[in-house]
Amino acid sequence: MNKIMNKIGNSNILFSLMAILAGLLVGGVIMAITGQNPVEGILGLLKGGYLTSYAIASTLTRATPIIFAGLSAALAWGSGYSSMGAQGQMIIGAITAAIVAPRLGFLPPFLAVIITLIFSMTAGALYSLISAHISAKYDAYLLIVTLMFNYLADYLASYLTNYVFLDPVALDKLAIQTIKIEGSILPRIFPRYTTHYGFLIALIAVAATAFIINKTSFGYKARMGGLNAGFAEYGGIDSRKTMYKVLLLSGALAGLGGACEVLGTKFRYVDKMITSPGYSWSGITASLMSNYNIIGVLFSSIFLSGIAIGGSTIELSMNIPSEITQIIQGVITMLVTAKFVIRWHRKENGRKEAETK
Amino acid sequence: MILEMKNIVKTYGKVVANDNVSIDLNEGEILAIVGENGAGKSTIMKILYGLEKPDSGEIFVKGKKVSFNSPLDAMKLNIGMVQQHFMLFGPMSVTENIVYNNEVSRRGFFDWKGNREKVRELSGKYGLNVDPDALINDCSVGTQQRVEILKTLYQNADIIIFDEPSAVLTPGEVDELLSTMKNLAKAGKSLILITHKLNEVMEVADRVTVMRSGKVIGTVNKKDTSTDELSYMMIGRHTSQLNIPDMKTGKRLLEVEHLSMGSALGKKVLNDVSLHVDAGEIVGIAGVSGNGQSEMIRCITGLEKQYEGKVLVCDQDVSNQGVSIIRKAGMSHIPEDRYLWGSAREASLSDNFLMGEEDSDAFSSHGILKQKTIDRHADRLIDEYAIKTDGCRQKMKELSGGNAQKVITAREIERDCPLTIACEPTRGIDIGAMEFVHERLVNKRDNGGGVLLVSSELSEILKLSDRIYVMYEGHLNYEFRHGEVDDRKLGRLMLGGKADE
Repeated sequence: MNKIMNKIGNSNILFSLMAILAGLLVGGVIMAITGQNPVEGILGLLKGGYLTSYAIASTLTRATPIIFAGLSAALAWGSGYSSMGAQGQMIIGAITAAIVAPRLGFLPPFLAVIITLIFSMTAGALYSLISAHISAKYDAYLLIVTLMFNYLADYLASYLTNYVFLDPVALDKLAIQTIKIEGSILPRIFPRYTTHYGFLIALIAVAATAFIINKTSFGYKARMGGLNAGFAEYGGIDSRKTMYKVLLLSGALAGLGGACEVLGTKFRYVDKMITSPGYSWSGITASLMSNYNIIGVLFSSIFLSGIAIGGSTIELSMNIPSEITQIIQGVITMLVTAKFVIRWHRKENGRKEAETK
Repeated sequence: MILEMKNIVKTYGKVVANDNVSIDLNEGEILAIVGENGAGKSTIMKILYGLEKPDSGEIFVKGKKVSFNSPLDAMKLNIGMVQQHFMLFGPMSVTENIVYNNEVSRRGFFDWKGNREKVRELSGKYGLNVDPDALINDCSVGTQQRVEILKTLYQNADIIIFDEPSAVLTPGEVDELLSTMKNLAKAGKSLILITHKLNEVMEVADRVTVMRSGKVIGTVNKKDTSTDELSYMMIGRHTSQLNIPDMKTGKRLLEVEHLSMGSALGKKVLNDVSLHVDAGEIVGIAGVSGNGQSEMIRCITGLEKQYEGKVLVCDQDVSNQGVSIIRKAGMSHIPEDRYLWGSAREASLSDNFLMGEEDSDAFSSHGILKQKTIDRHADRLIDEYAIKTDGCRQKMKELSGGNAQKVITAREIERDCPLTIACEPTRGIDIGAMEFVHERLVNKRDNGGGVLLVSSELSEILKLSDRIYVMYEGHLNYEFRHGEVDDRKLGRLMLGGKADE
C-alpha cells in the first residue's frame, strides 16, 4: 500500500487523475445525498463540459484565459519563483487592451489587434517586474508581494473604469465598464461558436513557452533554478537575473491572457471580469495539476474549464445546484494543493539546510 | 548459531541481486559483509530486516525457521537495524525518539521521568553517551547515530545490522563507533557490519563474508586474511598500482592569500589561510571535517563572497566574485554534497552534465541548446565512467549514490579548464570506479592541470597528493611534500597535535 501511495505521489499524471476521480466521487456522493441521480449527474456534467460541439466550444472559450494564467504560473513556479501575480497582471493586461484598442480604430483591425496585444503584454510584464524588484530589493516574500499587487491591480482597474474610461452610453446605468471596442477585436473562429482566435494565440503561447523552457539556455537556467537553487548557484547561474527574466515573461503571458479575454469575449473591460470567474486561480490549479509541465497546462486548463461549463449545464438542465460542481473543483484543488504545500515546505527546508551548511 | 540464511535468491526483473546467498552469524560476534556497490549486500540485509521478500531460500533465527513480512516481524525476533540514513524525528528529543512506539506512560500521558530514566539506564549500560533531553536537530551526526543504536537496543535487539555506518561520520566519530561495536559484541549482541571500508573491517570484525555480483565469494576469519586478499576477492582482480610520475610544476593556477572569515557568533571559521596550487600538482587538504574546509572551498569557488583576503585563479583576481566569473577564469568544482549543490535530482543526466556549460558555444548557439551535442557528450561520459543508467534521459534521482557521484565527478574532471577543486570526489563509489577517478585526476595533473583535493579519506590524500596541507580550526598548520608524512602523523596533526611529538 505504501509503495502504491509512493508511486502515486511520484507520478504526477497519476496523482492528478486520482484527484479528479476523488473530486467526481465526492460530487457523486453529494448528489446522491441531495436526492439526485449521481450517475446521470456526473454523465451530464461530462457531456455538458466535453461531449457536444457546443460544450467543446464553450469549454475552449473559458479555457483560453485559464491557459494564459496557467502558463504564467507554471513558468514562475517551475523556475522556483512563487509568484501569485497572474491575476493582477491579467487585469492590467485587460484594462490596457480596453483603453488602447478603441483608440486604434483608424488602423486596419488586424494591425490594431496586434498593437493592442503588444501593449497588454508589455503592461503585464512591467507590472510583474515591479513586484519582482520589490521582492528582490527588500528581500520580501514574492508570494505575498504578488498577492498584494493583485488587489492593487483590481482597484486600479476599478478606478480607471469608474472615473476615467466609463462607458457613458451604457444601457444599464449600473454597469461599470469601458466603452465597447468596435472592429479591432479577436473574431470567432467559427461564427456559430464562441471560441475566438484568442484560443489559437493561447496554443501558440503554449508552444512558445515550451520551446523557451525546454530548448533554450535561458530555459535551462530557469528549470535548474526551479529544481535545485543550490545546484544553479553552484553552476554559476545568476539567480537574480534569471528571476527578472522569468517574471517578466510570466507577466507578459498573463497580460496577453487579459487582453485576449477583452478582445475575444467581452469587447470591453467590465469591472471584476477577471477576478470573479477566478481565471487565475483555475490557472494556478492547472499548473499544479500538470506539475508545471507547460504542455500539461493546456490539458489541465481545458479540463478545469470543462468542469465549470458542465456544471452550469447540469444546473440548467437537471436542476443540480452549481455548488456541487464547485465542491468537485474544490476537492481537486485541495488535493492538488496539499501536495504542492508539502513540496513547498520541503523546498524551504532544503533551502534552510543549504543556508546553514 | 543465532542466525542462518540459506540459499537466498532474489531477482528484480532481469537482475539477480542475490544468487544463492548463504550467511550465518554466531552469537556475540561481528560479521562484516563486504562488497562493491551492487554486489547484493544491501539486498540480503533488506531481506533479513523484512523490507524485501526473497524469491526462495530459508532463514533460521535461533534455530527456528522464520519468514518476515515487514520490519515489525524482524523486530519481534529481536533483529534491529541502524540505517545509513537515520530514521529520526528531527524536532523531537532524544528520549522521545528512542522510546517511540513503546513508551512508558502514566495514566495515558507520556511519562517524561520514566522514559528519561530508561534512556539513561540504557545509555549507561552500553557506554553510549547521549543527552536525553537534546533535540535531534541539535545533535551531531555521531550522536544521532548513537540514538539509532540505542533505539535498536531499546527494542531488545540481539542481532543488530549496521548499514554503512561510517559513511557519514568524522574520523573521530568512526573510532568511537568501532569501539561501541566491540563493546556491544562483548555484551553478547551479534552484529552484522555492511561496509566497503576494509580498514574498519580489519579493526572490528571476527569473520568477513565477501560478496560480488550477487554471490558470496567466500567467508574468511579476520585473523587469516588481509586487506589485499579481501579487495582481491571483492573486485576479482588485484588493485592496480597507480603510477604517479614526478612532475615539474608549472605556472600558478590557484593562489589564496590571507583568507579569513568570521561566523555569525564572531568566532573565526577561517583564520589567515594561504595556499597555492601550481600546474602539474595535486594538493591535498587533510583535516577532520568541520575545521573550515567547507568554508574555505566555498570562498574559493565563489559560493561565499563575504570574506577577507585574496583569491587568484590563473593570475586573475577573483576575490569576492561570483561563481560564473571564477569558473570562466579556469576552475571546475566537485562539491562536497552531491545533492545539495552538485546536481538536480529531478533533472535528466543530460541536464546534469550540462551545468556550467549552457552558454558555451559547444552546447548552444544564439541561446538555443544543441540537444544532440549535449546528449552525445552525456553518453560519452556515461560510457567512460561506466555509469549504470538506462541512458542520458534518465533522471538523476533514479541513480544510486555512487553513480550520481560519478556523474558529478565526470562532469567536473572532464571540463576543459586547468584547475579542479575536488571535494570528496570518490564518496560512496566502488573501488573499481574509485581507481578510475584517481587515474583521471592524476591524468589531469600529468597534462599540466592542477587539483586541490579535499577528502575525509586520508588514504586518498596520501596516495594522490604531491603536497599536503593540514587544516585545523580554520588554519593551515603544516605543509608536507609527498612521502614526508604518514597517516599516523597526519592523524595526530589533524587533531591539533604538534609535529615533533
